[in-house]
This record gives sequence, C-alpha cells and structure tokens, in this order.
Amino acid sequence: MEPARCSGAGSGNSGAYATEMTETLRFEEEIQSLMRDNVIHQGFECSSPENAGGSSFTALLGLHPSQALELLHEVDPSSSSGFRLGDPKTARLPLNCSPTFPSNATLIERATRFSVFAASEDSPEGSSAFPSNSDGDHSPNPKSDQPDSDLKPQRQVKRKETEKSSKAKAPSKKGKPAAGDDGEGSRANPDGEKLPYVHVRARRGQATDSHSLAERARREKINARMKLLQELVPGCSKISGTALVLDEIINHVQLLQRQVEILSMRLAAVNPRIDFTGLDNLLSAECGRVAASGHGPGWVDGSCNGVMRRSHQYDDQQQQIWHVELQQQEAAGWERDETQQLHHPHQHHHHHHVFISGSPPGTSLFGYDSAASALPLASQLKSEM
Amino acid sequence: MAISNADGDLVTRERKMKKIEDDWRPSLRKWRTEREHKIYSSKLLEALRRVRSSTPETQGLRRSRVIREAADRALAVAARGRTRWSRAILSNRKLKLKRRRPAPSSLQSTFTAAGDRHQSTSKTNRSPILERKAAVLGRLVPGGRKLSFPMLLEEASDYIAALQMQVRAMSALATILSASGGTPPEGERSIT
Repeated sequence: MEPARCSGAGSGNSGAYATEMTETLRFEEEIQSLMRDNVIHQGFECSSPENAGGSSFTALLGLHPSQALELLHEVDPSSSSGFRLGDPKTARLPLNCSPTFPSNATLIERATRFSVFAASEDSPEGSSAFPSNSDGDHSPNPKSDQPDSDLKPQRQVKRKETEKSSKAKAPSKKGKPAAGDDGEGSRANPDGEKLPYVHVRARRGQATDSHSLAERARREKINARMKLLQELVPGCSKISGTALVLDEIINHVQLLQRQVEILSMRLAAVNPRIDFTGLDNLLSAECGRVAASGHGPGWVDGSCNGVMRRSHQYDDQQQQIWHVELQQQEAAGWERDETQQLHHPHQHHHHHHVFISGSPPGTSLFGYDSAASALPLASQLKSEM
Repeated sequence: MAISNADGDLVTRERKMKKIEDDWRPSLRKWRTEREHKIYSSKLLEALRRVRSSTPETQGLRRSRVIREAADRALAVAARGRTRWSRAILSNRKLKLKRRRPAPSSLQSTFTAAGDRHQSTSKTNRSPILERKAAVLGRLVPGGRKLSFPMLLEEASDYIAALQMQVRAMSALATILSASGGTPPEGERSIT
C-alpha cells in the first residue's frame, strides 16, 4: 500500500474523536482516497509542533520513526508499522537523523495518522457500548464501521499532546488487524488477555492518566468477552447494546437450565425401566472408537476393556440395546473428530467384533451406513437368542 | 490498491481476528468436542446408575432433582475445576468430599482482585440497569455472585458452553434409554 502522501487534512481540529474507533478498513480506504486525491495541505497546523509538546512529540516520533521514514520513502509501511509500533522508545530516531524529512508538519501528520491507525486497531470495538462518560471520546457505536472520511483527515495532531504510548502490548482482544496490513495484525498481541496487567496503548487525543487507561483496558476486556458471549448465544450477534445482549444471555442460560431440568425428569422417568449397566458398553465403545482415532487411547482402552469384560455377564438384550444405542449415537449430530472404526479394543470380544466388522469402515457420516448394517446384525443376534 | 483491495482486506481481517480470538480463548471449543461429550456421558451414566441404585423407590420430583444435581456435578467434574462455577457446584454439593484445587482458585482470586483494583480506580462501573442485569446473571451462574463484571462474562460463556453440552448429552441419553425401553426405532436419526 502506498504511503499516504500527506493529504492530511490540515484543517483545524475538529475535535471529533468519535473517529478514534473507526475501523482500519475505513482508514485504508481513506488513505487510498487521500492518495488519489493527492491533496497536500500545507496549511497544516503550525501549532502542532508546539502542541506536540516536548516529551509527547518526541515520544510520538520516537515510536514511529521507521514508519515515518518508510512513509517518506514510499515503502510499504504496513508490515513495518506492524512491527515497529511495538518497538520501545529505544528505537527513537531524532529528527535530524533523516535528511529526507520534508517537513515537520508532514512527518507529524503521517506519524499521527499511523498512530491513530495502529491505535484504532487495538480495540475496534473499544468504544464502549456502555454509556460511559469517562473519556467522552468514544463514539457510542462500538461496531459501526463509520466511514468518517471527513473526520479522519481532520483528526489532528493537536490532540497528541495527551497521547502517550505505553507498552506495545495491546490489551484484550486484538480486534481486526489492519486491512491488508498483515504487519499490523501481528502487532496485536494475543497474550494481552492472559497477562495479569493489561498494557494499554493510549489512542490519540485521549487522556492518558492512569484512570482512563485502566478504564479503557477494562472496557476492552469487557467488550471482548461480550463478543465471545454473543457468538455463543444464538441470535445474539445482531443485537447491539449491552443491556439487550445481557438479556439474551440471561434468557439463554435460563432456557438451558430449564432444559436440563426437563431432561432430568425424563431420565428419572425412564430410569427404573432400563437396566442401563449395559449402556456404558455403548458409551465406552464410542469413547474407544473416538479416542483411538483421534486421541490417546490410554484411559479409554483401560475402561473399555474393563467394561467389555463386565459385559460378558449380560444377556443378549444388552446387545440389542447396544445396537440401538449405536444407531442413536451415530445419529447424534456431534462434531466428529474421526469416525474410523476401532478394532483393537474389541478384537478379543467376539460379539462386539461381529458388530464392528459389520460396520463399513471410514464412514464419514457415521450414522447411516453402519446403522443399516447394524440392523441385520441385530436381527441375527435376536434370532440367536 | 483499488477498492477491491479494501474488501479483501476486510475478509483477511475477519479471518485474522477469528484466529487471534481463538488464540486467547481456546477453552470454549473444548465443550464441543466429541471427547468431552463421551467423558461427560460416561460420568453421567455412572451418576445415574448410582442414583438408581441408591434410591430406587423415590418418585417424581425428588428423583429428578437428584438426577439433575448429579448431572450438574458430573458437568462440573468434566470442567476439571478450572472454572469458578464448576468449583462452586462441587463445593456446594459435595462438601469436603471432593478435594479442592487451591492453586487455580488462588490464581483466579488474585486476578479478580487485580481486576477489582482496576475497577476501583476507574470511574462509574456501569449504569444501574446493567448492574441489575449483571446481578441476575451472577445469580444464574453458580458461584457468580461476587464476580467482577468481566470475570462474570467469562464464567458465563464457559458455563453456557458446558450447559449446551450437558443438554445435548442428556437428551441423547434420554432418547436412547426411552427408545431401548420400547422397540428400537429404526428411522430415528435426529437427537435434539
């Protein structure tokens, strides 16, 4: 991606920070559009250097020296920015080191754009869905891909007076890496959630005191978990707003618990009728089959063998149950790891072996073919009784 | 570098986001694996058999409640004690019968404490409406009453995944038991 040629909207600070959370996709498009327009705003804020302040400006530059360089050198900044953004300030490059810096203004603009760019991907949903008024900067629209192309260029270096970049580790959920900029995505640290302390990068124009940083980290964590929950609960993805999502979650949990109660009543009703000591044969067979195909067969084999030996004592009714169970189990729509046949735990049990050999191996559907072959076997066993 | 690139980038980003998301929360997928299902089903069978042998004559509600508690306990055991709700279930039901796991709980408590510290320094937590809903959710999830909001969400997600597996396993079991009690249905394929 070509570096953004200036284009910056030198227009004054619109003070619109709602665009902080704008998606990087829109940012990409913007950059491209800006590149195409090739508008060079020389009317860049002259006050920007002074607003940048001493430490913050150098800090800003220090963080993005290589990116600025790359921008100026029209090298694809994507990969580098992804890596460089995480660099500690030791990578600071003084301004006079690079002779190719056209102007401070342009550099600042690009650097800030990249900082926004990088920062905005920290938590694209970071803008709280909650009506938090701590920063006042976040748009109340967490998941909107607001194409604020107007506001983006207007987002100014101005505010970077308050910007501070702490450590590079992005907090909680990484969100969407830069479109096409795979390097950006690599910057997103997936370990952010596991760390006991979440390191937050302050976005442009946001307060960098510890309170808002902690608040932002918290909010991002919460948003990440809410997203996870939304994926879990069916029909929750289209709902926006935490309260409604929470309602859905609560309803879903209540529904599941009620289902468990109903099922337990069913099981209680059906319990005395069946001697389901033979059922663990079925389950162990299933366990053995699945385990040997995909996982370590250690404990399963042990339990399988133990159960199989116990099954010798039972009558043929168990066999029938077992075949029925197998049909049922096969019909269950579970995620199948492997459905290959498992022979070795059953080889020394002749009646099981008969059944196993009857099933065609490698049935991916795992239900229908073996069920069809199991039926004649069941009838055979019945006739043998 | 045309507009189409942006669209492709979006797809790439979504894919990457999914991958990155799965990196730090792989735990939910385990509730959908066949292996966990089998583990849970066998545990459930054991519990059911025990219930059946212990109280063969109790009818109706008492029995279903006992069965339900046994199922919950089996589910909590299947969670291997890494989640708070599983520990809460086990500590409530089997008082002192199951050995606690002090290491993960202390880790969890420190993490929660750190989170609370963060919360205390920040401004208002949530609107009262959200607080109320969070409290309701905390009551639903076992052991979720004194959890901070993000921890509560995490526990709730794991709990929901586990509950889904529990419902699937129990319905399969119930269908099988009721089916083998009568004539084996030949055409029955779906268990839901």
